[in-house]
Amino acid sequence: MKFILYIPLFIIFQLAGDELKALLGLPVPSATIGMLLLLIFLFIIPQNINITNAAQKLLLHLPLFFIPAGVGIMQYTEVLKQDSLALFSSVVGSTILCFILAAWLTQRLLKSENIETK
Amino acid sequence: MIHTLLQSAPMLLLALTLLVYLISVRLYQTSNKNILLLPVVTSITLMIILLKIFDIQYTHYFESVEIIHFLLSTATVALAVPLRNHFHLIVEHAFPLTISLAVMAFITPAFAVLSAWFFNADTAVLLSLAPKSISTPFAIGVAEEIGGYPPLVAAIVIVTGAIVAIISTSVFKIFSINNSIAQGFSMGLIGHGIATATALEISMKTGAFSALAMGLMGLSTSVLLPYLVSWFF
Repeated sequence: MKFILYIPLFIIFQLAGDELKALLGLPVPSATIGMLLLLIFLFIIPQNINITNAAQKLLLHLPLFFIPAGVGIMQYTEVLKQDSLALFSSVVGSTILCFILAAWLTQRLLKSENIETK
Repeated sequence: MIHTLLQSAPMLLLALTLLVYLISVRLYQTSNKNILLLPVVTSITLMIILLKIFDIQYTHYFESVEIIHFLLSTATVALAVPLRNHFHLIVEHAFPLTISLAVMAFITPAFAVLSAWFFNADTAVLLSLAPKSISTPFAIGVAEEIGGYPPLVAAIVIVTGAIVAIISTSVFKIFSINNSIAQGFSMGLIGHGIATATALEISMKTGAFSALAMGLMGLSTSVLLPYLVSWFF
């Protein structure tokens, strides 16, 4: 249960991200700023297994944290009905196509890099 | 009766959400991880059905479960940990990953817009589709900037992430994508946080590269898209 003690560490950096975003008016989500700040911090301190465990435990439940925002879809079912064919072709069709392309391209580039270095 | 109870006691909605989540996870595990029963998809669907049945407004629901939403940012911050633990691999493969990012940052919004343009969608809808592969806070910001419709963007982004999460295992099998860096990176590029949740299930390493791609794609799209749009529209 020791990992519980480390969750506040993430919250501190989350709030620091909020503050920094407000202060500098950055066009980047505050959670991303918090993530970068924590990343820098993790390079300063020695590697800590408790922090790793805490992150692992928290990230295990990432799907849960998407529920409040995701349920928001219920407000827009009417909008989704208009232009449904265009939305379907883009959201389903182009997503599948781009995902296949991204996976193939990344693997291909990683392979060619290995050949060059050998 | 249940309606008034749920209206007056926000804690009940919080408890109900946790219950729905636990049931969804249980369903997923007992179905031997059937990808169609992905917990994020099942729980959102079940929750919407329940709210419709009990006639509860979304704004009321959101206020009641805001603590869960708060933890989404906490978890996003925690993604720095797998990034730190796999940082040597990121540096080692920085070149191919940058190329892949640069190519996909242009192609993804272009395909998204073109495929809808083909079906005569109006401009506001086209612009709402352009940021569909980046996480919601990025996407909303970009949508406001370029003239999309923010609420529609949020819905599109979530569905896009869920599609990537659902198809990922089949795509990896069919196209023999067995490199875990390529798996994670592509999931994050196209399916942002929702696909990252699934990538973390494969391994922390896959999750780390998905988180990396999610962040980079969010940053580059929010910088690039306003320029791309001003050229074309």
